[in-house]
Amino acid sequence: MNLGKFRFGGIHPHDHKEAAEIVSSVFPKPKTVLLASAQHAGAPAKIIKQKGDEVKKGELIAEPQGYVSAAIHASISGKVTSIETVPIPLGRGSLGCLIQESENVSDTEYKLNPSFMSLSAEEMLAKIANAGIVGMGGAMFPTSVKISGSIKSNCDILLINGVECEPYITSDYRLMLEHTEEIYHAIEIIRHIVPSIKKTVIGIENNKPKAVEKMIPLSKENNVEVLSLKLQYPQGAEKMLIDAATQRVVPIGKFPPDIGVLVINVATMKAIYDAVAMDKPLIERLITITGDAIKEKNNLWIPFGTTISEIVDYCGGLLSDNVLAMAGGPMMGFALPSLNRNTIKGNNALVFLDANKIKKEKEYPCISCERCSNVCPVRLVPTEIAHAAKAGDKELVTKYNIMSCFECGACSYICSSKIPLVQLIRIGKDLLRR
Amino acid sequence: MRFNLESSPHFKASDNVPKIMGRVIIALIPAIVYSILLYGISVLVLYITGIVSCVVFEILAKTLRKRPHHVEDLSAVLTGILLVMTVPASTPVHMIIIGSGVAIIFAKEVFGGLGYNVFNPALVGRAFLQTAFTAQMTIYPPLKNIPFGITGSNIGADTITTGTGTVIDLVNVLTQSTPLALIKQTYAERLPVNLMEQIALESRYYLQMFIGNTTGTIGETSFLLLLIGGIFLIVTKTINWRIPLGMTVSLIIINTIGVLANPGVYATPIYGLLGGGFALGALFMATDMVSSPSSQKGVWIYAIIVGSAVTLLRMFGTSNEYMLYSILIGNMVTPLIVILVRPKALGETEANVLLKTQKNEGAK
Repeated sequence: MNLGKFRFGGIHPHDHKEAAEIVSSVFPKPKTVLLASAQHAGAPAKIIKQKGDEVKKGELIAEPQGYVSAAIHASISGKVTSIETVPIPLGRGSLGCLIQESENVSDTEYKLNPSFMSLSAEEMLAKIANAGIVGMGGAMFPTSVKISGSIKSNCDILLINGVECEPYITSDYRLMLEHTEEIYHAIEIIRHIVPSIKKTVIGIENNKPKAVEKMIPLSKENNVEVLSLKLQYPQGAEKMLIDAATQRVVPIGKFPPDIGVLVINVATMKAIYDAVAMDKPLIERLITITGDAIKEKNNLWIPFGTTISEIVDYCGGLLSDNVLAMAGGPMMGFALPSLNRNTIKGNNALVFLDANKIKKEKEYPCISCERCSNVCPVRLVPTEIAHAAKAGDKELVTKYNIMSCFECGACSYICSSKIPLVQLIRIGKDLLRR
Repeated sequence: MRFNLESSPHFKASDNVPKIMGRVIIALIPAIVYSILLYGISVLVLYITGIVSCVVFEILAKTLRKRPHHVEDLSAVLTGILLVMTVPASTPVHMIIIGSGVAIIFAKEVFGGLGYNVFNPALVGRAFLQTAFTAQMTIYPPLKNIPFGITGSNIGADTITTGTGTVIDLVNVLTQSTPLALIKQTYAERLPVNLMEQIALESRYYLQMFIGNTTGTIGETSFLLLLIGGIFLIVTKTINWRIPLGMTVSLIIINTIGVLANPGVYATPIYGLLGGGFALGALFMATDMVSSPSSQKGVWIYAIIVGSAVTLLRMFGTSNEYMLYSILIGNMVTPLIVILVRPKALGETEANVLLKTQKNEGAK
């Protein structure tokens, strides 16, 4: 056990892990689900079902398009009632498939294949690709593509991300406590697919001592190192975790496999186990429902595409009529404009805060305290980028490495003048996309 | 039902500009109270004048610029306080008003207001007064009360015997020397000849200077109370501890070299640290966030520049009030430091190495 942390910057927001000790439970079958075809980085999937088709839970409804894309499966059994445009938090809307629950279609049962370890590496990888698994930490990058890249670059380290540094979110923590063995099986699967892996590390922050304790007993026989990391946001970011656990640095413009590290989130590991050992596609995930504006906090297994208002009703409703509802945590999550939105693969939490209790801070001119650049984990100078972005200077924002910013929000969090730095940086990134 | 829409992050730290400025003001309170004890109620009047005129000038300037004012950020209040702390107690009220006007309008608002000023406004105001009213700014009235009794020798009284003789006696009724001026005068007479004598002479005043029962500008005398305030600011992470530390270390090193090379000419480092407003400058003025760099490397360069400048100027200059100008020199080079020591982004070095090897391989 060593207490590592990433080298630059970082902040310590209150972690608010109030839902940590709530044992996960299964959300009752929703009446309808609306499945977006773009629930992953890359090209949206192509919907292959038509209005009126009957679909079984786990049936393929959208095929991946191109290399970086992912399959989407029906998350409940029922009938396709319409194909419509769905608003998604990643921006512009995408086509989606609305499935209405129906009595006639029976549910699929998933059974364990006891000899799953005798499958070949190719078969395993195909199962992962067919299950539509994406990075469930939030980036939603297709996992099979990531693993293929790691095979090509002969990765020697497998890094399991159990950091969960975002405040409020506890779904990965519950997974580590409740599905420890599945995660270890998934490690075996990945090592089988990527034979060049020599070392396996699980990174967990030290505010989750129970998860560390739970992971340790199985670590020896599996030749896995469990690292308890010093609490520091944003340690769960891929590059930060690599730095903290392996002291390697990803060069700008490169990806973790280029320096021999394959990073996979624990929720994704559980999905990999389900796909390979149980032939179960990615149709549901553990979501933390928390915040001071929701009646009952919970950790729930919810099928994708479930309407958020239905989840809120199940949790007893909202306690305030002025709320800040977020998909994801308060640092990197998206504010929801209404409860008429649906869960997607990268959605690890729904946080509801009472907006009346949040103090509105006045914005002051920058006093160049440089706290922003001192907390930036990738060592950028946020104020300079923000200035350049405001001026619309493409050349300057590129020179300041704007694309290295992964919008962790540490600069906006710490800013003494309450300048929305991340928002300005997003404007700068948008300049480059145009 | 209302849903709030905003860009992430939705969490903000609670510290902000008014709180930062407020903490600096709180840290100055012991020294302010002490200065009122030393010189009486007239100093309180000066403080009030400074604060009120700075705030009024700020509102006036913002109104002329047709911008909303935000005096609740307390920066103008702080400028007023700092300006008063750097002038002698005999300064008339109208000079404080003029100084405040120069500080707020010409050092702050013409640059764009809070955050855009190159120089510390209070110091610019004080520098203006120094040149415009040289006579008034070099008269240091004797202390009215000595709160903790006389400890050690009385620096003011010593001037008469070790100074330039009876001629100065009449002047001494109204004015007294600051510790640095005294020692400069004394050494000009070539009184102590070696290091031991020099230390013996200076050490008579250490305790007095540490507590603050000496003449000097209104707020600079008490090393102890300023240090307490400074520690409070360092603990609350309001100022960067590297600035006072870097300044202290560079003063000690350069001054020690000077004293060893040329004993009996320059004051020793301890004397230099305790006197001449070093504590006020290093803890409260050089650390102003707007006009100083704060990247980890840049801050050391800045501290060394300010610390070296004040030490060298004190050793070779003719006056004694060089703390002020050294900080202004530091402020001046700050933009340059910020550009020179821009931090390298994570992975930038690695990316450059990669690019080089690729080029080399391509060349082969």
